Amino acid sequence: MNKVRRNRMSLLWFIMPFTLLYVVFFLYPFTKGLLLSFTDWNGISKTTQYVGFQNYLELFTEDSRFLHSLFVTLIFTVLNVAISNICALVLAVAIEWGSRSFRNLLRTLFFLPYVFSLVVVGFVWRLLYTEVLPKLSEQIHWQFFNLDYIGDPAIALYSTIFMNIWYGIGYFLIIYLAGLQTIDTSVLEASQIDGATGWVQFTKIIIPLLMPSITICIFTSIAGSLKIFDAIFVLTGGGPGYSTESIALNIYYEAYGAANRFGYGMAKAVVLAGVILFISYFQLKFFKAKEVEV
Amino acid sequence: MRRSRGIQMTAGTLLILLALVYLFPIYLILINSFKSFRDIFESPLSFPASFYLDNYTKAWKASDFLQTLLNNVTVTALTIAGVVVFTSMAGYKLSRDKSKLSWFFYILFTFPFLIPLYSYMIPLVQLVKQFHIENSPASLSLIYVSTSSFALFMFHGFVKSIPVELDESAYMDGCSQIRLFFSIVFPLLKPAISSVAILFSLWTWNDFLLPFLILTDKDAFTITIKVFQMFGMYGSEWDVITASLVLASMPIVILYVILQKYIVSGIAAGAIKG
Repeated sequence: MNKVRRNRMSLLWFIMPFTLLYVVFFLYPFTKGLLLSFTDWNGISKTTQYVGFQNYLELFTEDSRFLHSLFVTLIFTVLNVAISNICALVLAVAIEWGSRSFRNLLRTLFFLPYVFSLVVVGFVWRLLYTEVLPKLSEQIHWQFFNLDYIGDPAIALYSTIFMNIWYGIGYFLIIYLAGLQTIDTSVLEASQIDGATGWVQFTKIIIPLLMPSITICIFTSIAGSLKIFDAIFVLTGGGPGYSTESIALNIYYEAYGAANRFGYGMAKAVVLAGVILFISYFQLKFFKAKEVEV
Repeated sequence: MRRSRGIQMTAGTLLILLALVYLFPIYLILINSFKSFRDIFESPLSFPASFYLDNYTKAWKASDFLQTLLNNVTVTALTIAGVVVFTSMAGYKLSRDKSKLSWFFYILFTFPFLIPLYSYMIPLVQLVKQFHIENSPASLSLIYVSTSSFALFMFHGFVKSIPVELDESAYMDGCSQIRLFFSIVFPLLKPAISSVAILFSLWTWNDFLLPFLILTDKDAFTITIKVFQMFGMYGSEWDVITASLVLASMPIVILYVILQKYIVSGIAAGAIKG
């Protein structure tokens, strides 16, 4: 055997176990789903008709519930990504330059929610929203807490977003803290001698140097928000009405709800996958260009 | 930059206070799990007057706790073993091999990282039912391994820090490549292995949708499914629910307290390498 062929063989041996599982449990179902999104398949009837782009046409023109779920996911993503990252970044800077001696303790405490399952977190906040906060408002006579957090369609979405931010901040905090530790403090000391104030240092030095960490956190939080399911499913189930129904929940109900329209559900799933791939691609391009080196 | 001792202490104290407020929801579940139903309803905020343990006995029985725990441990252990062995092999080779073919596979493997389960769950669930492998911890684990691209990226990045001369010299001695990998390279991957193992145990342990879709037999349920199902059974009986939430979270919280140093460095490393 020549060297090229031998190398190719050894490559295949090494990747075979993983590739096998990847093909059987990911590539095959995904491709099959892609093909089925052009049919009226419902999982039960024997005959499946090819319907072309009809499913896709329907979901963008007739399905207001799906369009609403796109809107819900968009609001969720924008608020969740922006607030989680700003809070985590500010907290990281406060911990790193305010109280380094308590860094490990603080990191441990703020990360704790992330250790819990989102199912548990959903129930914790359900108790908080339905029992504790109304009681608290009664005791301290503060009307602000007396809201129908998960029963009022106008605020339920914000309640789920708030819960999700609480859950995820610790994860981003760890990444930002690790990023801050790679910044050479002499750069900051030099800028201080040049008369830079805290705010200028933050926006002109810390943020640009932290760009790799910011890229990763924003990337992770966008991908996570676009596929949000567990937290909403447990807290509100998508309700009241469809006010908190994200794309993932919409797909779930389409497939396993009353209608069982698998082919149509797959068309939605393909749209969701497309949106995620599209956003991830542009985001990586955009942020890679913004990273700087000292 | 050094801040004075006084500022450090004040800032530290304020931040710790903030952290305690932040963790208030967790404290709340803990105190309410020791109260009777009436007490929870009347004063959810007060500290329990006496420690009422009936909730825990009920929750333990209703969740079939030991069986459920065993299911979780089995799924998590199998997943970790599969992820560590399979993705380290693939990640190592894809990192060393600079051919077009290797690059093609690398790109192909990024997809499960981005594409969510919802995008292919319908055919996947159907496939699992066709093979009659629902309700088995092994099939759950195989599906987790099939989408563990994140671990593959971590190994792919980490391998770059191991000198190529090392595998070349061993190769000269006529060592078979797979054996070479497991006897020489694999032990050197230890830091990456521990990060991967920790992150995947956290994710696998807490995962909800996949077990929810493919486990139908209640003896095979994992903790998250059990908790969800108990909510359906007990509705707003917060006494049993709070106790079951504490029980369900206890193992992973204990693990976190013991391994927190590694969890933190695992996440930080994963973010940089991933």
